[in-house]
Amino acid sequence: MSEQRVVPNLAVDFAGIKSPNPFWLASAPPTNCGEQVMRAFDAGWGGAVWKTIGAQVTNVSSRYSSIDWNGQRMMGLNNIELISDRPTEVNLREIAEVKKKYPKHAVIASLMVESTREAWHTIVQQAEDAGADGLELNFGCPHGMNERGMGSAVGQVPEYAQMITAWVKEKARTPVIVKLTPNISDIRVVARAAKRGGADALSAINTINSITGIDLDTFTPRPYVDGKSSHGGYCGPAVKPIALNMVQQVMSDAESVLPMSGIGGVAAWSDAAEFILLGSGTVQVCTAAMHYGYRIVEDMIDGLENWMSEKGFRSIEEFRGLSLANVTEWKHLNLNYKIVARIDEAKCIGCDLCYTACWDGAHQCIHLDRVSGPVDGHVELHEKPSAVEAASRSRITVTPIPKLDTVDSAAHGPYPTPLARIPRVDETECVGCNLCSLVCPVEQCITMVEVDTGSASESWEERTAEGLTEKSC
Amino acid sequence: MFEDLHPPLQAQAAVVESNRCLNCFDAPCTSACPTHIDVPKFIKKIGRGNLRGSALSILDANVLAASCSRVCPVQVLCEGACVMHRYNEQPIAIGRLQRFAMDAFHASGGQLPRKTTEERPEKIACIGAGPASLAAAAELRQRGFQVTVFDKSELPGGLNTYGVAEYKLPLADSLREIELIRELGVEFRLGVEIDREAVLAGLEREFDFIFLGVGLGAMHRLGIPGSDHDGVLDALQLIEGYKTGRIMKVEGRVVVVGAGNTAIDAAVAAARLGAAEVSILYRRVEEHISAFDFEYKHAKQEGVRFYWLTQAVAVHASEAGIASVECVRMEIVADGSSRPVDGSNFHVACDMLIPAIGQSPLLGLLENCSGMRIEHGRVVVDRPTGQTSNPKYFAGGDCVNGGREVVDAVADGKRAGVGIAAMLEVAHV
Repeated sequence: MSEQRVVPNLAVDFAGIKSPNPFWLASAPPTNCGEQVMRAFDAGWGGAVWKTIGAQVTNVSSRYSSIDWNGQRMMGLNNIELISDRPTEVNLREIAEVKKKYPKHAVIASLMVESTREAWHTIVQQAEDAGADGLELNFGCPHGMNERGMGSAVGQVPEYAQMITAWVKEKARTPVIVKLTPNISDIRVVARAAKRGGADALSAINTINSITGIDLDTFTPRPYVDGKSSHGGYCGPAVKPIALNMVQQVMSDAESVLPMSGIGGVAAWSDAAEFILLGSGTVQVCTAAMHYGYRIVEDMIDGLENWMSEKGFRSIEEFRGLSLANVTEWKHLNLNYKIVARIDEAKCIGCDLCYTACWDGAHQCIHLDRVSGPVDGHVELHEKPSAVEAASRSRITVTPIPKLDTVDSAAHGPYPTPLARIPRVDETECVGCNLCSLVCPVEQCITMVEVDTGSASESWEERTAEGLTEKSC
Repeated sequence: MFEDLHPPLQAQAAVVESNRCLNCFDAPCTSACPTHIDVPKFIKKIGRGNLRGSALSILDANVLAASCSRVCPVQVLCEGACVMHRYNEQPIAIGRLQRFAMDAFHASGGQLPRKTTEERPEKIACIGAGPASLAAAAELRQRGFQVTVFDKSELPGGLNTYGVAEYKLPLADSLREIELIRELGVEFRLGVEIDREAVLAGLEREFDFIFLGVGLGAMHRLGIPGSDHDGVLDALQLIEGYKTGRIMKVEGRVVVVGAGNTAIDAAVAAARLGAAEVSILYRRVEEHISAFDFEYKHAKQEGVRFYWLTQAVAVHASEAGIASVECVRMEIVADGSSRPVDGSNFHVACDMLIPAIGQSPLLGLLENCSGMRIEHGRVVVDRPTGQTSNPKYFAGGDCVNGGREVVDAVADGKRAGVGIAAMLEVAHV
């Protein structure tokens, strides 16, 4: 029997901009010039948002800094590079060249000029004359340009954002995307303003204001520019949760919602799927391409296609926004739902990280008492971590010499890990917080299992509908 | 000729390796270490760039951490206990990470910390300058006591200096580590033999407590016809000889008798020193050898040939030197013991014969310590404190455990140091 697999079609129509797939390069160094964008398209990218053009700038040296984490490079990337420092005419000429050679790919011109109607009208006309499929208004750049009243200086003031969007819309014939800054207390405020101004679509998030770190020898933050540094824009895998949250906020808000191009830490097909599940029609990628090159798009496409055919989705639209209904306010969550942690003894390797995490970071309900005999109940009944360690330290150990020292296999127990090192969950005390399963290094060793509380679903809102009672607290 | 068996880690590799460590709670590697070095603690400090803190946390548990990082059979200790074995991964390279931290500490001119600034008047003698005594001496001196270490050799360190294969621990590195103990203020009286009752009695008068870290005596002799020939050199003599530069070269066919770890060290050394052929004779079979499995594999990699079920019965020599070792085939009988097969004698060509069949107990001195219980040639101690049945004497290392690893001696010495200090501190209060 041959397997019936759905062949997914990744092509998208994003607010009227057609793209062979939802993977766009964000406006950044990877889209600095035509030669790069053409190589990116050859590698498989569906679209490119050109490095922002408009105002004249000079860039500094150096420009980037990053956060490494436990040996992983560039968990987060920070930059103080400004918009394109190439002449506008050169960028426009190359946009035209790219569009001529790659008519089916999406080329979006990212724009930023001084805040006058004339300046915006001029750049819109130029970009569209060059053949751009759409325009992205850079209201988000959080460094340098904002000091000159552009970038996030616009994106942080709803009235400016609305006004400039409206100016652009007076002139534009192609779809207008407003790129939102996360450096604001509620991203929906500016999203609504952009929508009121007539924006056709939104993209979020731009980079987050950051100081990535300080050199502990020179006491100067990075990146270093002749003895000084400046706050920059943070992006990369570290910002994805923040970006997902903001995309969800906008997409769940009736006054904000527009076609969304999701940005922030997209490095793999699965990241893209998450942004799309929260309503994004396309995603934009920068850091991952800066880290590993354009070639990463191959698995973004391949992985997304495989996942889509596994799930039976034939198009991006079929699953776009499916998760929005599953995000709710806390007050609607079921207070009577209970899960507990279960440890698979056969999979446990005995690192006991769940034990220390539960004792110090959670609710003291994981114990090392399989040998001494299980005890359920509150914290006072159990041996404390310091006592467990002290017992080990006071034990006299010698180097085992083969043929001389026989290993006591009876104390070992039936599992690969000695019984004494396999933690046990006291389910009467477990609150189902997930922490143990998060710290466990072994896949599927600790699972969270639902237990029936026998109570009907009840949310905080329902419980307190009659006013706060003793039970609700 | 004697380049490192396990070369040092580069800085970036050390960080990568330290990040691989899961940081287990009550880590099995720490429990498996006889000195209970807090392994995840020192490893994570390497990953975070706190090399000084890393080294000091290691030294807090084991003052000979540099040599232990090189000579420990980590496969059966910390690395053998690593949970990574059950995670389908290589264990964390704990030994090499420890060496990395200790090398950095020595390179930066690090010194051993004192545990108190107070100077205490009480005096302790440590007899023998091997790992057990050094650990006891350092522990007591760090607590402010006056410590003197005696040894009959010209250099301190005992087997750490004279008996460990050079490709594991070069002599100079052993001495560098001991220098830090001297800088703490421990006094060394070297070239002094404590062999007579009168000398011991003098020490008893001068010192409040005496720690015995005397190790074992000379290696067992073969005791077969011809084995007193000049070309017969036991394994420890060979190792000491090449480490101190007295033996620069080995020629011809070398036969080693015995299959313990020392036999393997000697066989590998002979091969690296230029022997044309090195063979090991063992009276039983492969699974009975007392060498660690990885040592056995190492010997085979170095080209050492093994004769199983073979016992040397005579050494044949001419004026030119040893010619051959006469052997007899053995067989394992029903009760598991081995016995010679009649008429199976054969000759193995040999220019140099190296017996490596264990060390004898150093009974002469020990019997002079009045009232001290000795069983099977080993000093009997209270394990948690190292105190002997004569309360003035403590003991540790090979003379107590019959001959184990450097790290076992360090653990014994440290426990005794803590034990002696506890008694003196009680008396002081």
